[in-house]
Amino acid sequence: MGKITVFTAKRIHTMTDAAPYASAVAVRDGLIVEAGTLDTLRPWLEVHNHTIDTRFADKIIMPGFIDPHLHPFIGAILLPTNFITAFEWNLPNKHIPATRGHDEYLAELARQFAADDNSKPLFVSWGYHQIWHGEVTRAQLNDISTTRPVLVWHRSFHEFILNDAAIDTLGIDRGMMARHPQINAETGRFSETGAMATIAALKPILFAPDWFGEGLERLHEVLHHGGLTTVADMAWGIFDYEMEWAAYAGTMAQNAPPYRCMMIPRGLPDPELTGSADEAFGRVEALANRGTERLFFDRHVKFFADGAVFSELAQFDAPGFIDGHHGEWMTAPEQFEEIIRPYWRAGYRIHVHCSGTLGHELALDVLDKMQSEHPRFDHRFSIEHFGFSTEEQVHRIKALGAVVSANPFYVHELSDAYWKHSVGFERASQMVRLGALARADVPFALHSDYTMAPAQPLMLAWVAVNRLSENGEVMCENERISVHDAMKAITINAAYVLGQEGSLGSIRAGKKADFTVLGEDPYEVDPMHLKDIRVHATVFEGVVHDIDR
Amino acid sequence: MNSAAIPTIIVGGYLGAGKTTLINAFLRDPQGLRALVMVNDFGAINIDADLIENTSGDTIALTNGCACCSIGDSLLEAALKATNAASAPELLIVEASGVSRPSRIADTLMGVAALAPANCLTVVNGARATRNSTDKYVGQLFRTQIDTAGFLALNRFEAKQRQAFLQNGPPKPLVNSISELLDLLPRYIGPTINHRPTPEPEDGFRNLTISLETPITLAQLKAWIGSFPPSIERLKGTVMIDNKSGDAEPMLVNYSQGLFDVCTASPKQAANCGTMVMIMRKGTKSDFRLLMVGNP
Repeated sequence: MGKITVFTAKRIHTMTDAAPYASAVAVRDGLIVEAGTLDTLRPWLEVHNHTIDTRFADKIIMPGFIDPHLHPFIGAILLPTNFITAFEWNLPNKHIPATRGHDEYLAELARQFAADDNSKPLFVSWGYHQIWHGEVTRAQLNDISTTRPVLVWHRSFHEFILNDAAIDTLGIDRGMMARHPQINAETGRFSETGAMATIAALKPILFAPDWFGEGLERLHEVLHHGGLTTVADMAWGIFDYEMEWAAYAGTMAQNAPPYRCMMIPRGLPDPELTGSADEAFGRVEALANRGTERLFFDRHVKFFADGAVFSELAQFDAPGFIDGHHGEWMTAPEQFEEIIRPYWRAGYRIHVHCSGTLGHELALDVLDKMQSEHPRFDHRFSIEHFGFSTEEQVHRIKALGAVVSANPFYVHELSDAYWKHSVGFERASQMVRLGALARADVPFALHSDYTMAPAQPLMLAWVAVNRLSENGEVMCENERISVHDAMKAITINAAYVLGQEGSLGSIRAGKKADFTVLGEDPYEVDPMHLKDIRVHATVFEGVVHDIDR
Repeated sequence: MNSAAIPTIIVGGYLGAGKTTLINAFLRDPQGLRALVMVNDFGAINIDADLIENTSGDTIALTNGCACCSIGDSLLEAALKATNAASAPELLIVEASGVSRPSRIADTLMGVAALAPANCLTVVNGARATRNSTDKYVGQLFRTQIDTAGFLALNRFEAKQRQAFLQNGPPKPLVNSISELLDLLPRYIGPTINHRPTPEPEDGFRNLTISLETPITLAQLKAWIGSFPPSIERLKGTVMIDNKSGDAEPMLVNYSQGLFDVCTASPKQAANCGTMVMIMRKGTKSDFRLLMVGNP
């Protein structure tokens, strides 16, 4: 048995209701022995070897932050790119300031291009958005270089702009470009189905070990800097189950980053349900029969209802989108029900990606049906993302015993644009109605869906508490939540959504000794300052991991 | 488009429409074509054992020259791979997933240089049509799949229901099989469409020059014109039309806002035979895509 270490702090927020505050916490062998004060800990310290570690004496200790929904592999692909974004991003050792305006964008692109070490076959920049950066064209990218491939990747992932060198390097057929309805050969812009042509050509580069491996290593740093000690890969197999497993297990073993990742497989292993649902279930269950210390499974599964919020493919009932376009189903509604059934009956905890009101309705209708066919307690059917819902749906969520894992960042990044260009003020301002969940006492967590939002729980909490649009306007004050609810949503309730609350998410005897150490107290600062609180260090299973800035 | 572009048919329709049945029937009698069929559900393609030449990985080769492969995670990548293979198929048939909009798949396949613009065939199951069209989740999608089709196959429609659909449904060419659809396509002609990359005109219209150097039948012409979206304002030019006696003669085709006639071309018009000019309203790209449906 190891030695006891006692960490003292200015304040420890245990996130338990029974004893919310402490000033010292004892840990041994990666587990919490007890939280309290040096005085209350005395019975342990009198009989066991121990050290008192006072390095956090002027800091705030929280339970290790948990992000219950992100995509490590999307992050790994994106992180080696050059970020130029309309919103600020904090990357490890690198603050990305907001870049807004057409000339400013091109100047920043030219600056980053000049600073590039040319180690990659293409210069790729991510984060472009026409609302902020105006129309960027092939000719403008040719001005940056006629010889080195330059590729601009849209914030939404659904568009690319290429210079001629990039078109040639990727071997994209110019005759095809001229004919394609969603490629503008003149401006070099590839959108939606046209973007798929670029992705197909890019894949060998993005999935090469030097790109991808570097991306995963950067991801470890990103998560550490965000103060995270547990995350969930909420769709293992989004590209390829085995390829992802080999790469992730490899880097976790080699780099031993200070976090663990819960692996939640996508439950429909093919684009459509082929064959019987039982067969598909059996196949996924067999695939998920593995795990390591840092990558673990726990009979959770992920499904997709409607298209993404960012790509405006959410499914709405009337009145829909202002421009009259329609969203998409990612899974055929009747197949969605069919494939969920074997998992529900086997006792799995089910997570469903829901974006629009109709997407939520489908998930809740199917849950309702499952409950009447085969009732379950404590099933924690989880609505993931929670983009556009109604108050009535919140009551159904409560009545059916579901929980929510929400991405609040939509409110900050999209609500203004969606108000003016997509769905109008009422629905845009009420996106991600966390206040209603709090009023109905539905347990909810906050997630980043990284890279859909920064993997910084305090940033997510800041959005949820303040609901400021990009222009600084409060979007629906009644859907704001308290600081306490926000802190629960990135700790104990995030653990609850993942079914890991028995060992994670709060500071009490017997749980994993995972802490996030902050420079200021989230409960004391002006709520507008939440996102700027410095994450000083994390403690992962009892071991301190400092964060250098 | 290069003249060797591979004709492509997308078989769409909601779950249970009968897409696989239609494709299976074609595979039993592929009209002498070396067709490649790309499907979602490999298991559902029920191929007679004596028709299978060999199976390797995700592809089944048939003794009649056709092949069948699964789409997997990326249709575009699967289509690129198939058309880059040593012996590219003479015809590509793609089974759309039940929740996809065939027009979006047609757009995706435009990313494959070797393929001709796809023809969308939507299969409709009459026994489920009422339920599907009023379903709160898929009603909109179901109607869109029909409205954006180039061709429709009505499956399990009762006589009365079929009559009502013909009267009230969208005016689309109907077929009973993939072979019938192929007969409507002037696929042996190898025509070319030259999309002039001129700047968008100021007046809200754009022109397309269509070259059609080998003869087509009147039925093919009608099927194509029948697939025009309303945004196509005019089509005028002279083409060789096969007449019943097996000869071809130059005919002037004149289409304007829904009406068209065909008459014998004057010697001056015949001198330009094989060229037509289409005028379409500037605007949505989806209209342009629909223009391709019918594929002259």
